[in-house]
Amino acid sequence: MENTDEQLKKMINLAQAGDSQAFASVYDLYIGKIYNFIFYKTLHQPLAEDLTSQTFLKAWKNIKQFQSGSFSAWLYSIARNLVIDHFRAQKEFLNIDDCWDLQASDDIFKEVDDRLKIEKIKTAFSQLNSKEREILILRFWQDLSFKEIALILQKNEGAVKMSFGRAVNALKKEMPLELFILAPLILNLWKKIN
Amino acid sequence: MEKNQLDFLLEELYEIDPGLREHGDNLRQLVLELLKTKPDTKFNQELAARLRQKILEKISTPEKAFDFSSFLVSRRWQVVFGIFIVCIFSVMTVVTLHFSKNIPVKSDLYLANKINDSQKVVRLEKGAFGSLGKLNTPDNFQEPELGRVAQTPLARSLTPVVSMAEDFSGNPVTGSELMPIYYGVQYVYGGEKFELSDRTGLVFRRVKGDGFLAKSLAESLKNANFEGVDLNTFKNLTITNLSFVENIDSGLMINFDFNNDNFYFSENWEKWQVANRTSCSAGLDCAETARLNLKEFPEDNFLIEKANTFFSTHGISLEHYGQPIVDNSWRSSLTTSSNQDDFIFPEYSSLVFPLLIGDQKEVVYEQGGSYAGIKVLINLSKNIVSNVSGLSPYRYESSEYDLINDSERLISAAENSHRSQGYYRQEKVNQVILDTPRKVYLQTWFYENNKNEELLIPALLFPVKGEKSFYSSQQIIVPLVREVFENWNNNGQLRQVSPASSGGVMETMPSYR
Repeated sequence: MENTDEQLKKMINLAQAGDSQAFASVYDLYIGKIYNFIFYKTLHQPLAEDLTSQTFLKAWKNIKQFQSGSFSAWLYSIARNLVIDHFRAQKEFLNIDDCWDLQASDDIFKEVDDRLKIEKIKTAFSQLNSKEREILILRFWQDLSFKEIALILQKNEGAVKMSFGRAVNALKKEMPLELFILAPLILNLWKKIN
Repeated sequence: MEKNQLDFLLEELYEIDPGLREHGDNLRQLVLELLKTKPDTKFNQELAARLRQKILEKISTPEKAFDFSSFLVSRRWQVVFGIFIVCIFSVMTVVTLHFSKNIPVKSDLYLANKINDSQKVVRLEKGAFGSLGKLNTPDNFQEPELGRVAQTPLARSLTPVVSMAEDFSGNPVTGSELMPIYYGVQYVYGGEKFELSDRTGLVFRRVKGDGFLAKSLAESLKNANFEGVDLNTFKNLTITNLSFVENIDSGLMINFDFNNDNFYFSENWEKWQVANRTSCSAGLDCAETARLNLKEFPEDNFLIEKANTFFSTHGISLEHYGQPIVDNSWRSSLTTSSNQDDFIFPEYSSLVFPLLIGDQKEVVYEQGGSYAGIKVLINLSKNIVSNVSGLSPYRYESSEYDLINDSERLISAAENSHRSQGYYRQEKVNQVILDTPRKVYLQTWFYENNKNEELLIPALLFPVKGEKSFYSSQQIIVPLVREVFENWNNNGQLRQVSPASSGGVMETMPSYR
């Protein structure tokens, strides 16, 4: 029985030869991860859908250029770059790579269903640079290994781990223990009053 | 969320930063909070199927037929069309000039890749390059500016500096980390007996173009308005340098040097800003976070892959170069450093793709002792290639010259190749053993009439045997061409031939592609 890596390689080869059904199989394997990743960086469903489509269309268009290495990392790179391009185009004069750098008053945060949940970490997240945020998202929310993250970000694994450690340290300062104890109490009190 | 998963994440964090263990409770809550606040993406099979259909439809739909009216108003296409017209005009000018003047073309950059292998090295009659007795010695050679590989202050500071340690009264300072003031090196041959049977050998001379492309470009641009200067009032114009820049983050500058027939890449420095660097002084936390450490330093394979990818992406052939070698000379500095925790790691890593010459694909060395060839710098904070130098069309002429094949004289010359570190007495002399030599090529220059000719001459390389000394050369290179050997030996110049470099690049032999 062939292992998944070999099956994937076969599908990629077929897709490179123009087989769109084979590409659809590749899509089925990665759609969940890529869509979620883009959503975590945009927090906007229509935008995430649009950028996800663009990711796979771009992958199809350039699939012959993929020769070796991690296909997953290659797809993630395409997705990353599309997200960055989107935000750079929207906010031309600001160095913004994803939604976490936007102001809290920006419309995007008003549309998030989990707005209350997100606001808790938005302040903390915006203190990190976009690469550190990405590493946290990929490790905590997408459960990727450091090795996989290193391939996506084109850094070595050691550097990724160091950045991860620094990011957690920074978050620890932004989100002290008291916040976790007091915040739910305050929130409940607020709801009672209102 | 499983307890096991949480514990695993925490252990991972403690391994990266053991100091975090002290904040176990806080960290546990933090990680739990991060996991709980993971947004609900609402991804489901229906969404996946919808996107799938949309994508497959687009894949199956043929591309839209060309819309001429959109083409006219589209700015992007206006730019493309404009560039197309300029290219057509340039090609017409070049072709017209070529046929009207019938200028013979040798190895201009743009034709280098279009000639057969048999034309890349042209054999001439014996002694075709004239007397080599006047070849520049290492003391007075003037190496042309073959593109500079930028060295950061950190990279430079890692080169071992030999200096005189003495106080203001001229007394030697003891107990210092610097090299002792009166320190001699004596080379002794400890290799096998060898015989050299070749009485003659090939010398190669690099062929430069006659500037046809540079002249053509100058003709094309002459009528442009350069700040009101009428270039038509000047005679016989040609272009010497042409540079392009990539106007993107971490973009490169591509430089063509028509005088020396080479090209090189460097950072478009305006686009290579490192975040926080300009506002970050030494001693601050941000300086610490910007510093690399040993764990972060990439492996050689990673760096080699980066360099290879760069060349394949930009269509640069490495056919005449050996396997790349990473410069790890900084590691010996790390080993000897008294405070390894505070060691400043280089921000750039350098590699060399050694030049190979002749049917035997022999390795070429520079007079300084490093490999001649393509030099690559990789910026380690961005993990991308930032500089490349040593690129030129592979075009040579070759001619036979008499070689010296007296092994005793050659060994004696190698043994006498030492640098005196002090001008007076030598209080301590270290013996360094030389191993059996191998045949290589030495890159030399012949400077006459304000022009530099690059010549590659046969030579013998004597490697240092056993443990490498910090204070001696890692190898001695002695020229085999009789005229050169006699001239340098008679003038006492052979003593200076030995390269002073203690770079780590000498430690491995390149393998051939």
